[in-house]
Amino acid sequence: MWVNKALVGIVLALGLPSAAHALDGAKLYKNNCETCHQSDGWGIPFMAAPLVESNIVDGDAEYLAWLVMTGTGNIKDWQSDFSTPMPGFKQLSDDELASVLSFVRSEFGSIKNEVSIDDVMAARMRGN
Amino acid sequence: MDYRKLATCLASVSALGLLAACDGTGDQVKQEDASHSSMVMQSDADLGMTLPEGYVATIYADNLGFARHITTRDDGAVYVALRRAHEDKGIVALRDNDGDGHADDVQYFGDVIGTGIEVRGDYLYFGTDTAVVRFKFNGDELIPSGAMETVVSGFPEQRQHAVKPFTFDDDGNIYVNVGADANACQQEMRTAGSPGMMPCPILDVGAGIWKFNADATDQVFDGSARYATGIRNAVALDWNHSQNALYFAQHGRDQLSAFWPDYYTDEDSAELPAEEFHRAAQGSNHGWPYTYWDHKQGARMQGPEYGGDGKMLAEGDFATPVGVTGGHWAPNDLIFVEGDGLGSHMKGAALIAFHGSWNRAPLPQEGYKIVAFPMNDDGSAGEMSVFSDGYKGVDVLANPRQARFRPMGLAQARDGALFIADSMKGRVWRVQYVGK
Repeated sequence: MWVNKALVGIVLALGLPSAAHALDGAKLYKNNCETCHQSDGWGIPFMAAPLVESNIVDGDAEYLAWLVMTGTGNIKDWQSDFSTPMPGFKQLSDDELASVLSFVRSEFGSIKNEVSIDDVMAARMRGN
Repeated sequence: MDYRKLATCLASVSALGLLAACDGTGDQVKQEDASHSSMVMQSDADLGMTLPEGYVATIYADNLGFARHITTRDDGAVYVALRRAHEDKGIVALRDNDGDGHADDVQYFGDVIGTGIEVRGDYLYFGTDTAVVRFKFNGDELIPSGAMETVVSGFPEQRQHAVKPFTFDDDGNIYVNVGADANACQQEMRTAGSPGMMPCPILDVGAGIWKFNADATDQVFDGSARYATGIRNAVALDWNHSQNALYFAQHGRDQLSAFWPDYYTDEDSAELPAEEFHRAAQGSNHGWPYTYWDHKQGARMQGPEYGGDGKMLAEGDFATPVGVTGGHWAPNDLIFVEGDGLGSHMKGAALIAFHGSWNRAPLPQEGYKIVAFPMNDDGSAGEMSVFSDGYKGVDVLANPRQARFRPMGLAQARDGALFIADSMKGRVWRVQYVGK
């Protein structure tokens, strides 16, 4: 048992993929994101923002997690070229958010770094 | 493109009973078996759309920008509203001076952007997202030289369904669509399982059509003077002068299965709800957000945000559509054909431009076509048929971004010709009936 605990500790310390990423990010994406952002991540012209070539997807992981958790529709005066505001996804668990955002980066980002549970937990601490 | 040569090509195509494509020189460039289709259509890879036999088209203008609605003036000028400004101008004027079917005079003007645009008398009316304005023509000038006047201002700023298309009756009134700033008036915006607000407060200032004096200026929207309600978003609306009545086609709500997976499969959600084609009247209620129309069951259903389960019929005094199509086709313009210029068989018909869907996965996206509903003397609509198709450019479309064209605006010129505007590349077609 102590060996497993030690391994988890090493993984967390190194920021390596944790058990969270064993969740099916693709399935989470399909169920929560794909309708608007589309299967190819390019969004919908004038309606939903693309995830490809996105500064937000490629940017700070904690901010990315916070934005998805909060939802652009819940941010006062959010400026966007796209008409459909994004709902918040705070109901997803930290594991689920880390998995789906890691999938998004892997599939659509130019920066492939995973989004860690620590990123998501820090984002949740930020609140609104 | 020389449409006389095109017509010659199409005549040979018709004799063969084949679907065919003709290029601008009149050469037939491809054929395929059309036995599956009852309508012999012409197609042109360069033209980018298909038409029934007996019709020809020219590319009147191209690459104008993100075109929205389109209108014509009696002197032959054509005006297109733009969603994004072109060098700070949001209207483009077109005129074909040499009569070859292509605009040779293209001029951008107007410090506005928006969707609604229509010529009425000596004025060009234009709908921004928060106001209706107009510009006065002096004589036959292509660009109206009159200063911009505000007809109605004060429409709420909104993120969703913000456009303000409009139409006119014959008694000096203008009818303006104010869409719903929501999908289904949920307590938590577009969130699975979130119930609807009761009553829905959006209905006080949106999700309806409002009536104003078309000749007055500086009117201010305050939520009063509502003509019809329960309309999620009517980008397509037009006054039927024969019926002396307002008609519209509505964008139905989204994401039934995403938010209510216990009641709807993804396939259900792709097809439901129907896009509804309605006749409106003073005080009519068309059901949003409490209900939706299920064209498979031929019935108005209670929305899942309001206790429905996909099987519960709606109760209440809600209008019944005069016509329906499959889900999420996105009706974005409606006109009633006037005169015989598009063929006597088309006189009085409703033409609806469907911009095309984005949320029909796992089924292919649909819409991206123009359909015709014949209109009956009693104001009802007959059976729908496809008038023009082929805009998406591929057989199976996964993402609207991949569509080659998206039909967005319709207008009929005084000579009977039909103008069609595309929102992807800003192409404008001029369609003419040449007979069979």
